[in-house]
Amino acid sequence: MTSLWWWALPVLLLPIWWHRQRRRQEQATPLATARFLPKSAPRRLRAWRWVDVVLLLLRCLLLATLVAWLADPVIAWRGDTVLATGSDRDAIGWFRAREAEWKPDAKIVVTGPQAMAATQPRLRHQVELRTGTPPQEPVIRHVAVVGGHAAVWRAMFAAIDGPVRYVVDAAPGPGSVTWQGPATLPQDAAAARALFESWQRLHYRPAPYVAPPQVLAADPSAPVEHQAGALRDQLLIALIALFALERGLAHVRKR
Amino acid sequence: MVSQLPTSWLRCAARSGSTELVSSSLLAQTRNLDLVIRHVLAGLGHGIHAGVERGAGVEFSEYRAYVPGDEWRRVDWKLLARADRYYVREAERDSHVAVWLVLDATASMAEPSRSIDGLDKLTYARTILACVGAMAQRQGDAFGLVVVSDGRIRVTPAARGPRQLHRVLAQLEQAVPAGRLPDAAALHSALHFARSPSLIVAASDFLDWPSPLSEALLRLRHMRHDVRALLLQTQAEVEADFANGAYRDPEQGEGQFGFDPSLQGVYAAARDAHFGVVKAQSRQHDMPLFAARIEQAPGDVLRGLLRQAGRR
Repeated sequence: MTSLWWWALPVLLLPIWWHRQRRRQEQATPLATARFLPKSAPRRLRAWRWVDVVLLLLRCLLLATLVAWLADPVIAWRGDTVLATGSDRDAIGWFRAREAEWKPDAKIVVTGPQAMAATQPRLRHQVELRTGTPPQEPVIRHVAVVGGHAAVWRAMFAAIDGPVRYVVDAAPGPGSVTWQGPATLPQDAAAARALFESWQRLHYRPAPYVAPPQVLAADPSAPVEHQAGALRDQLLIALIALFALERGLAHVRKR
Repeated sequence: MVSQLPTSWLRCAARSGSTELVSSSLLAQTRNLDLVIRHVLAGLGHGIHAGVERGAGVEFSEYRAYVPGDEWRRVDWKLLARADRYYVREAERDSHVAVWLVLDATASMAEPSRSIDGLDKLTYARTILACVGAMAQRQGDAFGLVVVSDGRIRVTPAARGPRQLHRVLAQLEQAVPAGRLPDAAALHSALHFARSPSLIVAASDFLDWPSPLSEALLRLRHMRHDVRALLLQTQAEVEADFANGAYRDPEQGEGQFGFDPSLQGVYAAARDAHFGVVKAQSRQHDMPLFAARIEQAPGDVLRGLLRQAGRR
């Protein structure tokens, strides 16, 4: 109930007032010589026809739906949830955008690898990260060695061990990255490692850093992101349906 | 008191048409006043005496440009030969009678006929006044229109000719029943035809009496104008024959009035008392009041309205 549109709800009184007014007017027919008749107290209004009641309810509902559609509300209906994510999903970001849908006391558990954010996310709900080490799949990268000392460099690539393996191709191809070492070989291991790492940064994207398992405490003062259009479509459909019903019933009453 | 109505008007009124071409139910079917006038006057004004007022008089007054509808014999041919333009000789007229049509278009004039669909008092008043205007135009008299509606007054100044008739008809057709009568001061300033003797035909329901309108009409009568009032009623009003139910006054706002057959006597007594006063005061001030039901044929009503001149 944050939108100012909710203050428009008193327009619901409008159809009620209009129905009352209309029934009063319907009773008295204009007559120019009415002054020659004795004045009569306005009689008790006749019984409501069912169609009047339904029409009044429909009109109130229509206006309420219209106000709700303008106010764009979010309903907190989700309880405790486990979010399972793949390696490239930003579950925390996704959750933060929809946080208003969760009940205030809901607890969230995120499983699967989760990229480490630059700053600790501030959320209104307690979020537990159960980010086990991801299953390591060996990555094969193709390299073509050109220039001098090719044998030395081939030996270096063959020696690299770990999740990333390098296969040295005979000639540069579309799937391989070219390695051209300097004319003189590096003098020590540190220089060689620096050279290799700068080559890696130049040609490959950095591997994402996986956030360690932790519990992010609920922060009641965390800002709530405005979530636009959560119920828009449903409300719009309801609005159209109510309008069609209202017109139909109004037509029925006239006949 | 000598009537100022031209003699030719009397002749036309005395000529009683044997067949009524337009009935009230036909009146409800058309909005075309021009057509209605032609048919109403066909049974009434056929062979209207031309009278000395028609056309140019003896005393030359001025030239004016020809407009379609002017008689060819009034075109100055010598001036046409010199100027290569049509000019009409205007002359001082022998007759100075101006006809003023007063239409009450307040909300109560929207009262419909309970037996003829689509007919109401305003439509009927509009037709009668249009016929009087058309007769004035045929006689060559100047005529003007005053419409009182919704607290305001709309005046169409008196003039002669076919164009004036179209102006007046257009104003009559535009009149919409609304609101109440304007106040006495406004009517006093609008209805002051002091300069020349005039014939004033006022169509109203005269449900407000005394009212600013009734006072203005009586004042004009005292100024020696020939004032005649057409009191319009419906058949249902005369017979106190309404459907049972609640009614409201279109001009007096809040309040409801109930009707059932037991109240017919009360209604008739109150109504007779009111119109008794209206008729007595009209008689006292020598202002002919012709009461008509809108279900009557317009030709009959028009004849009755004009014939009263002969009785005086």
